[in-house]
Amino acid sequence: MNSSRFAGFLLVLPALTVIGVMFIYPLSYSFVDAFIVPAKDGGAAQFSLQNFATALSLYGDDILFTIVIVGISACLIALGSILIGGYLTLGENRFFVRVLAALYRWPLFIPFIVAAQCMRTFLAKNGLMNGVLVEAGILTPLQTIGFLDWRGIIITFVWKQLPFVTLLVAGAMAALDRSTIDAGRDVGAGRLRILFQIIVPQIMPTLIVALVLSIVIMMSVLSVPVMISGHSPTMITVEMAFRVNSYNDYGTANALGVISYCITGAIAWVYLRRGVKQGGKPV
Amino acid sequence: MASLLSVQNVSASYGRQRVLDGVSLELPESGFLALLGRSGCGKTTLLRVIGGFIAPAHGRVLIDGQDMTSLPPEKRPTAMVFQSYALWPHMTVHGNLAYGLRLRGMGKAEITRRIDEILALLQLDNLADRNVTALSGGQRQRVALGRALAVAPRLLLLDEPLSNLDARIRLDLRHEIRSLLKRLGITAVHVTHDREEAMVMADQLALMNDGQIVQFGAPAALYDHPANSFVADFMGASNVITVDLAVSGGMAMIGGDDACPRREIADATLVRAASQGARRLDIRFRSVSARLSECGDAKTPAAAAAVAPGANAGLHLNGTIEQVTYPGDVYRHAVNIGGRSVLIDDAKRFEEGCKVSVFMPFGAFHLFPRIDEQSRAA
Repeated sequence: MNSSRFAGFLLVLPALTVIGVMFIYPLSYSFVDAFIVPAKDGGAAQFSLQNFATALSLYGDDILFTIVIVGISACLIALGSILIGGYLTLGENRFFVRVLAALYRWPLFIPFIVAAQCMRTFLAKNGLMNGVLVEAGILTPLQTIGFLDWRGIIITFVWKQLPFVTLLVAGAMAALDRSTIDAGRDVGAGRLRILFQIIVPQIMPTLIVALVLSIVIMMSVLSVPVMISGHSPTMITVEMAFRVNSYNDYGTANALGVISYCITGAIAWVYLRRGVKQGGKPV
Repeated sequence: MASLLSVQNVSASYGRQRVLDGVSLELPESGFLALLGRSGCGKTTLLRVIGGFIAPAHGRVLIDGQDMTSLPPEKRPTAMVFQSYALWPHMTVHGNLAYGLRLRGMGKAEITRRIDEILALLQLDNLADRNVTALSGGQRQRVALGRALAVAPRLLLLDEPLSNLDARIRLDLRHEIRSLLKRLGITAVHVTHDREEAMVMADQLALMNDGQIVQFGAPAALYDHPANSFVADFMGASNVITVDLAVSGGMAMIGGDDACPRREIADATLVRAASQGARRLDIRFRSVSARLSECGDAKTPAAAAAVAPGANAGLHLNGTIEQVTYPGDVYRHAVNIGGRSVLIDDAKRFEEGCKVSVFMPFGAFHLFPRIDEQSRAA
């Protein structure tokens, strides 16, 4: 009994060590550091909420901006994944269904930084998108505007995260008992009704889990807001990097990190609660 | 009587595989038709063509004289009960029943009244607020039936609705569903591979094989007068003995070996078939249709008939008992007759190795002449 316990412990040890050294220690260190202010005259550092006060007074707008950006992106991703998954499930033109099924996954394999760079050239005032619109005669050169601001960040996040959420959502839709869809049509429901009243309620747990994971990823991405729109207001990650690089101010950066963690923690709580409801098995 | 459902020369394919091949049938108002056949015979495909879930490659589907062929399921006056019930798990019993009614723009009070009626009819009172995932198989099946009945369809389509239930519940529900549909005057098409279920529930059977209807008629007609060897086999006459067939002096002569002693039969169909070149004859019969007697036992009818050849009461075959089992009520004997093994039930037990005479009265067996390679060679 004891030897098998010891063997089990040995098996777990490497993973536990990695989590402890790479995650728990730095997280705890940063968390504690967020609540500590060094004394000005060389005395002992002391516990304080000063870092949070600084973070909220200087970057309150950025925190709000982050929540709004991530919130709008999540809504658009949810809608997009439902529509794409719905077409893959209910579409009757087999050619378009196959083309869409093959195409929608591509952005999954592109790193955020490459996606951001692509968007810079695509969304700029003289970028590819406006070029096409001008060439097509839809806009004149004077009417063009750049999208390299909050809209660009949202577009990039949606473009990059939509395939991930759609992958899970479309998989869940494909796994549904097809006859529940037929039964909806049979009693008189059209395709849109079936999608939103029969299919989506059944795959809601998967959609929520996919969105939670996606939100956590968007909250932690630095490259996209830096490359698309680095000026204020911007996302929390950009300001954290700024505090560290320009002022060597780890205290305020850590306070921003804790705030960011609280936001994702609240989202993760939704995820875990969902898992408890399903018998302790988060998907 | 005018047909409520008319299927006219319908063909359908999955890719290159032809699943329905020129199927036609008519069903009058309040009729109950069972599409019967083995897995893959096309019966579910035909039901889905009628429901609008599969577009036929050729042919038409008419309901009340109106062409429905190009209409999607949501535009047809049909409702289907699915094999897996297909209840919506995120809704209560009430939600499942009310969905179709809400789509028809019915008021809330009217919906509640209608659902209460349906629940009472199906003995599901007090379950309206229960989630469908918390119901037993039998209750789910009733809710599925109720959901289809709630929208008052002109034609009810039942896709093997009893196949997922326990044997006992299935037996009860057969009778319940039939009496309910008859009481309401509902016209229904029922798909099943269970012969007994089809015979108990339906007024008309359409027995299908390889995408075609091989015989259409009342259950008793198919049971007593199968059109061919396949129908006889499906309807339970699975014992088959093949004997020689010839014609002599306007009479059909069958048999001519130890297993089946030669005898004359005055049957115009056999005479015609033999005249057209059929040299072999399939004798098909059910396990319960034959009687056994030990060879030389003069007290049995078979032996008595053998002793007095003039008594043309039926057909005599000779065989050997290979195996005896007891499934209940009667003994089931595997009897070797001329190299073919058949099953025969008898109240008396005959020991393995015993030579027996097998007697079948006329009407208890079916004769199917066939023109095969051996016939052609002859």
